[in-house]
Amino acid sequence: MSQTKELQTKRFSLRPITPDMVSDNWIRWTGDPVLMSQMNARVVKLSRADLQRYVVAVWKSKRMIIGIYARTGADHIGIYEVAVDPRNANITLDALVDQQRYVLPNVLAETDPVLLRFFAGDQRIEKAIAQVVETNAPLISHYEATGWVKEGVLRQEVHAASGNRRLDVVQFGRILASEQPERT
Amino acid sequence: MNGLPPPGFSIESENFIIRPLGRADATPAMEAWTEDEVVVEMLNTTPRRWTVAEQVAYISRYDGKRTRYLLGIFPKAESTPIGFFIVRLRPHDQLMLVTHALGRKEWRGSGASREASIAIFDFFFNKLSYAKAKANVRPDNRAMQWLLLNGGWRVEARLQKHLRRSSTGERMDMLVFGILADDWRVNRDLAKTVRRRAKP
Repeated sequence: MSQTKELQTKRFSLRPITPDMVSDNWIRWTGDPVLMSQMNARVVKLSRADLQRYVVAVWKSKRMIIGIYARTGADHIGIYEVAVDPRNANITLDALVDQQRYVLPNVLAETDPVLLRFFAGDQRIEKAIAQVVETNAPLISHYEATGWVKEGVLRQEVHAASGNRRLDVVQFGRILASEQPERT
Repeated sequence: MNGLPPPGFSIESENFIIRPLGRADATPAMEAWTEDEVVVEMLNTTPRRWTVAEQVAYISRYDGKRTRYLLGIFPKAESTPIGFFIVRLRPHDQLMLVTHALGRKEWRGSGASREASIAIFDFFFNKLSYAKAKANVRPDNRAMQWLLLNGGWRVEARLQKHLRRSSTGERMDMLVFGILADDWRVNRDLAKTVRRRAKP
């Protein structure tokens, strides 16, 4: 996805995030204990400069960071991070939604299909992957409810951000043939 | 960064030295390895001769990488490897992903894979405190699956149509095997093994 492309759904727009687009909302999320606990991230409220450096690092590593915005008011409500594996035509998605103000499945049920159609069509991606840490119950429920295949559970795959234990990761996959726009 | 092998490390077992391959290890003796279907499938490449120049270029891709190693398996007192491990590390999660093949066919079934694997996991689990190892295996690679399951590994996921065959574009499934360090310690000496053939 180029850094200028914009995708739209009925209520939301998806835009690549550049360093100058780091929002106050995103800074707030990094200090939200519930959200960070779900994501298995430490609660450390980052500064704008920290997040700007992070955005630069993401794009440099050939990943993409895409913001989810309300179409009315342009409120920043979430983030997709996308890693592309061009050799196998796969993408790996990670998603964050501001759940203090929005219901995660309601947002992603609308934005996922548009994003996946974009990758299946413009980018010729053939499979999407999501690896969700066990603490992120809303995201696991969302993938289970929206047609993703649960491909397995990777036991004790990551360190817990807090406490001395390891967490499982649930692996989902989705073949994108059905997401492609019809070609003539 | 904690959990990384020290510079210049090597691992020793009864019959082998396992150490990072350097450019000087490129040799005509390895040229046929990528013509072998087992190695071709494992590396998802196309069958071809692997020239010494290509070997040097490939080995160089691992130069200076602290979390990715191409380890050659050298019989003691020999300067030519019989196979390799590719080890990718995620030190933050104490997790390692391992790929392995024996390039020299005459060593297959000799117990070399098992002996070298034990040495590798002794090193990463017991010396560097890694907590888990993973291996990605094609569903039709029954020999590797047998080896892993007998060593206490478990199938954790079947990734559907996950790989794209480089030669045809056909998509293939992949099995993810995993073993926790504690389970490996329990299974280390229990696994059934094939009778070891005399070394070539």
